[in-house]
Amino acid sequence: MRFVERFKNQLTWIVVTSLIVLAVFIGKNRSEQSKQEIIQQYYLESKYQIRQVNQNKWIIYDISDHNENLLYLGKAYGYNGEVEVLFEVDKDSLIQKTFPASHQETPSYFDKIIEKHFFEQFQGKKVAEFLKNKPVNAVSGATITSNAIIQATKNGYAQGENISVTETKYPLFGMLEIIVLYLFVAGIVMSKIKNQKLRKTLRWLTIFISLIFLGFIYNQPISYSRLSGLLLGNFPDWHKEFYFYILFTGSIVIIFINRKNVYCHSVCPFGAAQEILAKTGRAKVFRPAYYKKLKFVQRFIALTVVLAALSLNNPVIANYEVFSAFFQLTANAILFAVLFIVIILSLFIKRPWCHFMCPIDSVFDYVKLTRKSITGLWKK
Amino acid sequence: MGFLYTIFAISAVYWAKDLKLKMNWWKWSISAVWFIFLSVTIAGGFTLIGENELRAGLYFLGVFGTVMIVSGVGLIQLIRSK
Repeated sequence: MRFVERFKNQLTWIVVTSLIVLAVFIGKNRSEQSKQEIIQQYYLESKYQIRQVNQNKWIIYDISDHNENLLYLGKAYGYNGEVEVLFEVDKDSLIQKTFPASHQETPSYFDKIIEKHFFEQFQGKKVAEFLKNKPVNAVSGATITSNAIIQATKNGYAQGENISVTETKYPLFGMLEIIVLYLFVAGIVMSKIKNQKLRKTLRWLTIFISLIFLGFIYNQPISYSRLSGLLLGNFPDWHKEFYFYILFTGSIVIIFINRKNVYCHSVCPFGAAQEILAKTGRAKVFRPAYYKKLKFVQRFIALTVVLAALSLNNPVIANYEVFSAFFQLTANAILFAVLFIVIILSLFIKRPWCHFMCPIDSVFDYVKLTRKSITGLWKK
Repeated sequence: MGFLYTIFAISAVYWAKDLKLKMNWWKWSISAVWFIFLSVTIAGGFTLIGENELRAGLYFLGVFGTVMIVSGVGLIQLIRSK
């Protein structure tokens, strides 16, 4: 019987892993829009003559007013993936127009950038200023995307002009990294403490720290779109976002060492929010007879969504969590509706989102399955 | 509206008696504050909708309405406690 179960686990792992690898392969081989096509979206051939100087620089000649300007295209990594920016510079090296050529950012965050007229800040700025500092202000609540656009502008100009740029050194270890480490250590320590009172105190302290700092202040839980981005090779800059690597690798390493999912239990800020709601409504554990079927649906949706995101090379598809709706009030109407249902359910059922909807729970189930499959290899 | 509020306040006393809730001054005070906030939420949300600010009204009702439901459930637990 044990052998049959082990075989089933290993077969499931092989099938899921093969599907993910296949989806990544399809996604990475998708033909993307060429640079020329991107430029022609904004500068029609009938109105402009375009001459390429190098991979990042073009000369454009306006046929109607006989004006010649320079055009640069640069890219940088945002929250989910690449952000490409196209900008026009006049003879005095002043930026005239800036366009978002392409991006893989969450639409609700990118909409914030547009609504706050972020691109209009670039107009009239000396392009060389971008090499030294940040001449424009990031949009609050969409800081990573704003910084990626600024970085893309800098990269486009530096690569177009063949200027080598020394990158600003960010402190590797900041407040967020300390908080994440604390949450992990507290999660591990909690499972070892036998004194109920002390464990309860530490648990509530951890819940509030996670909710306030990781949730409301920094809004940095592990998101599914980011994990999909990772699989597609979009690695966040480890100098700027070292906390993400602690969060991600920490969660996996702990599962491999002691089989415990510390992230969902003690680190996730939305899990913390559900704990508080459960306490408010004196919620009960919900384990119906069809619990396994509900878990299957949760995992099936998570797998389908990630396969779609990977094969279409678009991590945004995997963004169906309610985290940003809850912590930043940034999401579409459907996610707000789902959030409302989850909040109400959380008052009566313990952690409904974690148990029946969260894709991250399925990710860690897959990590557990990987562990089981590996350890099962040398068991008789 | 004042008439309805008066009826509601008087009814609340009988309602608490029927449900055998052990009410005291601070439980009544918190309940009254919660009810005022609920009224402000409904009034504020629908005023915004009436002023052709549909999106703002829905946001207002969604955010503060949810807060009122959650705090309402918490209030019920508090009132039921001895």
